Amino acid sequence: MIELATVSLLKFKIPRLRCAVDAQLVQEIVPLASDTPPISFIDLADRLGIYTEKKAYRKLIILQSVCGQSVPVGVLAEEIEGIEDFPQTALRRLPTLVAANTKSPLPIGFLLAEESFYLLIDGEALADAQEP
Amino acid sequence: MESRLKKMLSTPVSSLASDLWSGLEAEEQLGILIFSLPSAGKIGVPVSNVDEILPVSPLHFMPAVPDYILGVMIWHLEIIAVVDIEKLLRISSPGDSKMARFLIMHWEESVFALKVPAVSDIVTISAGRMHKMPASAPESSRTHCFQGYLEMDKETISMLDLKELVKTAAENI
Repeated sequence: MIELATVSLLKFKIPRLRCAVDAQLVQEIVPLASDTPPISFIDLADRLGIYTEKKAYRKLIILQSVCGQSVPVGVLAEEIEGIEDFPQTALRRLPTLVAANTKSPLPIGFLLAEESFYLLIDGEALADAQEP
Repeated sequence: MESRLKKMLSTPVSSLASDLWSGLEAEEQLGILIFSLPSAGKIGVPVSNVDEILPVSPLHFMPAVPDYILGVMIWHLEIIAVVDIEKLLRISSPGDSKMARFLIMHWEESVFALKVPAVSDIVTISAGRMHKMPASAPESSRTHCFQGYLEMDKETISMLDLKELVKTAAENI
């Protein structure tokens, strides 16, 4: 029997987009509140060039840094949809024209499963994209 | 270091190849799909490169791409980019028309949807009726995406050069 490779992904929402990131990189998910631990934040929507007034961030996804700094980084999210295992066949690469034109190294593909459509974010690049 | 997800996705780089009708005999028949651009006349593409004609439908938003990539859509379980030909060629558009269509096209490894204002006709012509673009044609992002033209019913149909179109779409950041 052929065993399909699976990947565990954390699904979350940012303004205008549903995203997914490798769950192995997720250290913790905390509510965004006044007692949120002091940590550098990344506004993924800003990094992707999404400018909107309507931002309702409620959660902070804390990703572990994989190379270089050992300092974790927080990614702002409007909503956490959960962690789920997906077969490799649910992953799609970026279309050639998008891959050639994207102004950001963060989107690396899509998760396509039943009704689900998520932009796959390179969590390792994101974790290491924090300002020094 | 390449991420685990990136390795799983392993995006290949598409290669671009040659001419549309090079190697065709003058009497060989060629199917041409014709669409109209209100401010640039009629445009032809080889039917053999068109996989499907679809009505315009809502797209998935794609961030961090130029304005001529309108978004992405799911086509036969693949995710393809939707390119607005008027924006790519920097042709002003009078606005969205109810006749607008998505042409699902392929060139080499690239599959993409081309949003066109209206599909006019599908004709069969002999390759000998094609003319190369005159060398005197001014160089611009618009003209270099055409590789020739044909006269039909007192109208000029400009033939889109898919190789150049894909190249322009991939380089025109």
